[in-house]
Amino acid sequence: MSLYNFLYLSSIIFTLGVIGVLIRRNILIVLMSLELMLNAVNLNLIVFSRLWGNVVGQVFTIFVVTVAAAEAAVGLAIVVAIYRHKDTVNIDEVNILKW
Amino acid sequence: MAEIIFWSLSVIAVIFAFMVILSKSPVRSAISLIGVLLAFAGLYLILDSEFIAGIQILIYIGGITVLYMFVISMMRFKKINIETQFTKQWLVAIVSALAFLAEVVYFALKGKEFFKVGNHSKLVTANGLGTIENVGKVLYGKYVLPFEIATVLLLAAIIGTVLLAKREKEKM
Repeated sequence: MSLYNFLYLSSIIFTLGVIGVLIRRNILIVLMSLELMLNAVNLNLIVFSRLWGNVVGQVFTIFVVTVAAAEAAVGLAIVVAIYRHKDTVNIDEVNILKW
Repeated sequence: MAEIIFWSLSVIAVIFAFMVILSKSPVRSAISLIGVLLAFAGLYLILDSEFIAGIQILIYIGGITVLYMFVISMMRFKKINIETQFTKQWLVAIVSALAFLAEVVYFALKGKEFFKVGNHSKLVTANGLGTIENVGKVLYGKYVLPFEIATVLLLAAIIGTVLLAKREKEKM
């Protein structure tokens, strides 16, 4: 089993996350696509950690998980605030900063 | 054996990732996200990272995805029809994302010699690489300061979440 296949899988999942962020209108699904991208990065870190037998990659994975948890909490709070304010979660209708 | 597990898990992960970004209802997306995260936890187990696999299941599936479920269950999605699901720039978005994928794969292939990925010549024997003992020794030894900063980040996230999600008082 070549460790290289893990890198291919990681880049495919990351690209799917990028596509999800770019084409979806629902903010919740955009946030889920962000989680996909963070997971792809985690897989990359762990593959290289395994390759060199160095545990630091896994420590950084823990930090990435921490940041992902914080991001999900704050992002969902923003989504709830937007929904209360505009009664929608459609990103096209959230345009008060446009002019 | 590990090869079969790897290929089946990666096929599962890619299919569920497609379902995350393509399904119409956010509930289905969240459940597909659980599938992706479980497949990734299995991949971490193949890579001798038991602790990270446990963290993945505990925090991602047990925490983050359940949080998504709570937020989804608070909202109504009656107005959503198929036309409003995707943005108008989907073609440009997909083309540029595929260009990005080609770029990443190209540079990964170029770095194959340098990183010695693919052959196992530099593969250190990884017995007990990802146990809690090994991870904890590094996490609480050399990286104890980033660990503390991460706790401060979580505190800030808690406070920010409470402030953002709090209902504003009507004071005119």
